[in-house]
Amino acid sequence: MTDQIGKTLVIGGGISGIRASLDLAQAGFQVILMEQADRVGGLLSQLDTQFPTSTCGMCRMLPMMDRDHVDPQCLRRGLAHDNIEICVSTDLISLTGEPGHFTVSFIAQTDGGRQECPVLVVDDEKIVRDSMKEWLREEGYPVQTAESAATALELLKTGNFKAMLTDIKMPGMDGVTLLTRAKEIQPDLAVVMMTAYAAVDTAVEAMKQGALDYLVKPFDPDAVLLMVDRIYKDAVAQNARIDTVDAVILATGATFFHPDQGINAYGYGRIPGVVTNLEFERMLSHAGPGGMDLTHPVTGRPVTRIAWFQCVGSRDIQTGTPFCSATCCMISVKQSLLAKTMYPHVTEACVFYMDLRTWGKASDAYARQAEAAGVRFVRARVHSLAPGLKEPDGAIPVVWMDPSGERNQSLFDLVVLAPGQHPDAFLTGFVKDQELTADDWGFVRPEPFLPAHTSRPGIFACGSATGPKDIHDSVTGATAAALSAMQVMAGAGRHLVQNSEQTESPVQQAAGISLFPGALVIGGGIAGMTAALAIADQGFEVDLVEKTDHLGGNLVWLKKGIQGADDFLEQQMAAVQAHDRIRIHTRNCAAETTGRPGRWITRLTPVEDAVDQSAGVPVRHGVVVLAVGGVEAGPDAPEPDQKSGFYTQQQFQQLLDGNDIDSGSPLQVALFQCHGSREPGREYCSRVCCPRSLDQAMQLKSLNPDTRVVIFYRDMMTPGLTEADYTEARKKGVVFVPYEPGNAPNLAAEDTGCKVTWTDPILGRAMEMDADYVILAKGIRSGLSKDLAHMFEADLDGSGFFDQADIKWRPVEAMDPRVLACGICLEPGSLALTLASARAAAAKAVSLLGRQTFFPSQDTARVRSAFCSLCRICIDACPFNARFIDPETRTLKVDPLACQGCGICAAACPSGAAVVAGRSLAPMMKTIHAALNAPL
Amino acid sequence: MHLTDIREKLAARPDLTRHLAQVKEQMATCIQCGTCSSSCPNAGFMDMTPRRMWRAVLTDRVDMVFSSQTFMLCASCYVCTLRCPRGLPLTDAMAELKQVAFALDLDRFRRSTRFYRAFMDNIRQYGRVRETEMMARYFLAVKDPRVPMSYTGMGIKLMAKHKLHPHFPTLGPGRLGPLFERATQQQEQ
Ligand SMILES: Cc1cc2nc3c(=O)[nH]c(=O)nc-3n(C[C@H](O)[C@H](O)[C@H](O)COP(=O)(O)OP(=O)(O)OC[C@H]3O[C@@H](n4cnc5c(N)ncnc54)[C@H](O)[C@@H]3O)c2cc1C
Ligand code: SF4
Ligand code: SF4
Ligand code: SF4
Ligand code: SF4
Ligand code: SF4
Repeated sequence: MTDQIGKTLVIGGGISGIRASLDLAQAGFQVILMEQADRVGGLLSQLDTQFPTSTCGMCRMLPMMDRDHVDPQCLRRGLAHDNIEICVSTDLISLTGEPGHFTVSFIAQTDGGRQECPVLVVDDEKIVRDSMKEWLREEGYPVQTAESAATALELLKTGNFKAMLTDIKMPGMDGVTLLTRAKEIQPDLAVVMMTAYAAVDTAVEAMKQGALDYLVKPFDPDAVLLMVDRIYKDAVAQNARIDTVDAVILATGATFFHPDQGINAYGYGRIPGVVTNLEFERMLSHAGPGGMDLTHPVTGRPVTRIAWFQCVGSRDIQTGTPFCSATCCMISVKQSLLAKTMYPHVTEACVFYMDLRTWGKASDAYARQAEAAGVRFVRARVHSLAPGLKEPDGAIPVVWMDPSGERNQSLFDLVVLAPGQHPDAFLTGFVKDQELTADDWGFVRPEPFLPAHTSRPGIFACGSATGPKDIHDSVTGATAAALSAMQVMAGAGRHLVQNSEQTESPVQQAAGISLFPGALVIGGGIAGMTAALAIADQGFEVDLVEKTDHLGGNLVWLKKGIQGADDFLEQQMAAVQAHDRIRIHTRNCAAETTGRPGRWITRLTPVEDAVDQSAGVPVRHGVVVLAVGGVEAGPDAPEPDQKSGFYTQQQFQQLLDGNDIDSGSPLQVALFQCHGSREPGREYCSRVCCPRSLDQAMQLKSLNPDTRVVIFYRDMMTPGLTEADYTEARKKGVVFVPYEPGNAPNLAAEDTGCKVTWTDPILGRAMEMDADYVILAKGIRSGLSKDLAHMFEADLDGSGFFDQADIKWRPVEAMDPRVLACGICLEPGSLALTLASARAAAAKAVSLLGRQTFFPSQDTARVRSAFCSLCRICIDACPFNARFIDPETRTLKVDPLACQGCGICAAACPSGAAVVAGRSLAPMMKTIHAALNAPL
Repeated sequence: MHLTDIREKLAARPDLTRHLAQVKEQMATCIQCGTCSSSCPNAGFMDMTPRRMWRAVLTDRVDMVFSSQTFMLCASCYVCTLRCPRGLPLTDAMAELKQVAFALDLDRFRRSTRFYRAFMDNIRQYGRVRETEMMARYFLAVKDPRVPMSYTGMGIKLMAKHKLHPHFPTLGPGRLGPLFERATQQQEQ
């Protein structure tokens, strides 16, 4: 049993599932990747470009190591890796067991899938028959309908149905009699009764006569699908394939809100020219139906005026969606930017929004870029749309009120709706079957401080199945989930797939490089500690360097402000200190490093008056994790101005935690968001200060409900499920006042306190308050220095954070995959995000260290040593620092983890000793000739 | 004048202050999106759009609330209630403000108050509206000769189109009395 190869089941082949599968496969484990659709790629296969880069680049997820094991093709078209068994068009039938031993049964739709489960729907109402037929057909079931019991019986005699859904009250023979007759014809037929609420008794009675279950009208599609799903699974169970796996990763994403559900105020499906953002994405796509021009779907004319409507089926109680879908604002920013810049005929691009949620380190600048390109952002919500009967060319009149109460109207050719993300029927069923803890809206709720863990051990989750997410957060979460699965497999004593390199040619063997077997983690905050623990737990040596005399970083001051963080920090610190594979070097810094990447020898030097014995000791390590965190961005003064009541958020948190606020009589408190953020100089949103302000506001309100709390904000950044806190704060009576950069509230320090004056944009009146406290939300500044980044050939991005190889696809690593980063020196974010990036970085480190020795692949450069004169020209020419002279053998070597296969060395080498498959002289010349001769 | 007037009157009526506080609580989760204002068919006639009304309620500007006629112009069409993304009971809240305004008996609402009262009395009495008699009672109640004068033009137009019947066939008493009593009882509970 114990000498088995580790195997994980990944459910869902979108980006999260692909990322998790690739991470596990790269680490040497086997993966079954199960996908319901007929191809992997999920949503991404429909998007040509994604924010915030306006490009795709998904192929950058392809592994940097063992590249010959994976088919280097566009990941939006497909995926092939030796260690991944891809099962498309496949349905999960059942899943039972525990970590290290799950039994999974599943069936391909092609051999006895849903096609084998025909359904008969019997109802005298046409609308019921038609909608049920549509829902079931969409899921792949063959459906027939009958308007009466008599017709149903005729059909049952001829056809072989697996299920029948029948109304109870019908003219002529009723549903219960039909049930008895049907069972006479086909005893194994699964029959479900459909009934109005008033007749539930009859339905229950019918169950005694052999009905499987009943549905109460009016029913939602999910209830019907779950019911039929159950029947289908029972029916095909005996044909299913059965396998055992050690761990399970759920990555099934979410579904989109259908704008024609409910009151359909925007006339989707009724008004030509109203489309969803996914449909618009296809219109934008060159490969899409419209070809090069952006044309109206009905008139076929080039589109000139486009409007985007945000929060359709999000932040809307009327559609049962109190949460924010987190990504749709940025999707509209991207689409409007592309439409405006790619198509000169688009003269008007206008986004109607409530709060523009441009959280994260790159998004705000991206939105400014759109603004500069001429996209108009209008803070308004349009109440409904009607077809423009009087307008030429079917233009759609859009009416909105601006804050002052002024009524506006413009005509648009296209209205693009940004629908929200909702849990889908599969997720609802899975959560129920596996008894997972879910949040109030049906998304899987991760365990506290374990971002990828569900409430069932051995079952992990990532991506939008855990709440609406963008690519970046999904990919980070997926790698974190891969780590959790690796931990289960290691715990069960599983092996890796045998290294196939051992059988490869001696030329390659000779060129292999091996890593030093340990990790250096720089920064002893929660990110550094989490990464160190995860790496050490997998059996590798870790050196943890911290410049202060204690571990914990920012969490030391923040721990009381986050529920449970106090104990969590305590536990992590104890675990790090007790771990026999972790050496902690407090009061130390990394001073300089020598050696090649992967064979680094880094010298630590003590900061002033350090007592650490290991001072000056060189550390040999194969990977490095940068986790130096960050600080609250530039407080105006290191100490709060107590007289006038000015505090930074961090300073005020300490006041709150120390119970130092006298709120016996009601106070007046102003909280000032984005103070110095999201403006030139610091053009990013720190993501944490809005939620923290809400928390502080609510604390003030619970200290004294009569305290007047006003939050001045530009856009409240409460993406995803944190929107609930925003609503909660309003319920408690917190007042929110939006401001624009040019007209921020005026703060005038007084003898005691501060006078705050502003104009309320809705009332149009001057307002004021004599604030006892003014709390400035300053945001986060990265603590990563250029020197440190450069030491490992990494760099800082424009905002001073770690520059990732790719912000979407390789979010925790530098171009060189051995240089990793996590926590708030990587990007500003909450504790939850920090833990996810720390675990993701650990996963990457573990899979590199586990492999140890790496060989060149077909895509990387090789050296024909016999021709090489050691002239070093190629070393200088290589932009990725991949070529070096091995001091032991005195030969030129290529680092297979750094080489990107660009071919520059092959062009530079005067002796023809540098070769890259497909990049040598003959094929390159052929390509150039072909390009020159090609018809334009 | 209004500010002190309204504040004083409110201070003397803790029941109304409580009532207003309830309206404020009901409206607490408003996000000022303006959907109500842009959907309201009467917004163009209102001195203050619904959104601004809610903002005034939430920021305790009772002076602004009761110097406006907005809630009087609400036609209870429920469009805003159907569209509000926060699912707030906007039409009900308008009605509550109307009630508070009536109970405060502010000068500026005297005409509306008297009109509503004449209308309701008429219904209570006959089970339907007898326009001519209702208007007569309304004019008596406002005690201002300028008011009947202002309706002369409309009266003549209506008469010309035979929409007004000076001699109405006598109707028996309406049967809505018990219904009104029940409603009053329930409200008091
Ligand atoms: C103002 C503010 C408000 C926040 N509010 C919230 C909130 O409400 N909710 C929430 O979830 N999160 C919040 N956060 C984020 C939360 O603090 C972080 O997600 C988390 O603590 C980051 O952990 P870290 O390990 O990445 O960084 P840090 O906690 O900063 O730890 C980094 C460690 O590295 C050390 N170090 C730095 N440089 C070096 C070096 N060269 N060599 C060795 N050691 C070094 C530092 O001394 C420190 O100990 C907030 C952060 C800030 C600044
Ligand atoms: S990201 Fe949030 S705020 Fe923006 S459109 Fe989506 S749901 Fe609305
Ligand atoms: S206060 Fe912070 S979280 Fe809120 S929008 Fe500004 S930078 Fe972003
Ligand atoms: S120049 Fe390009 S191909 Fe050559 S070693 Fe460097 S990265 Fe590889
Ligand atoms: S529609 Fe609702 S949430 Fe929006 S402003 Fe009106 S009351 Fe407030
Ligand atoms: S119910 Fe009243 S406030 Fe609401 S839309 Fe109708 S008239 Fe306007």
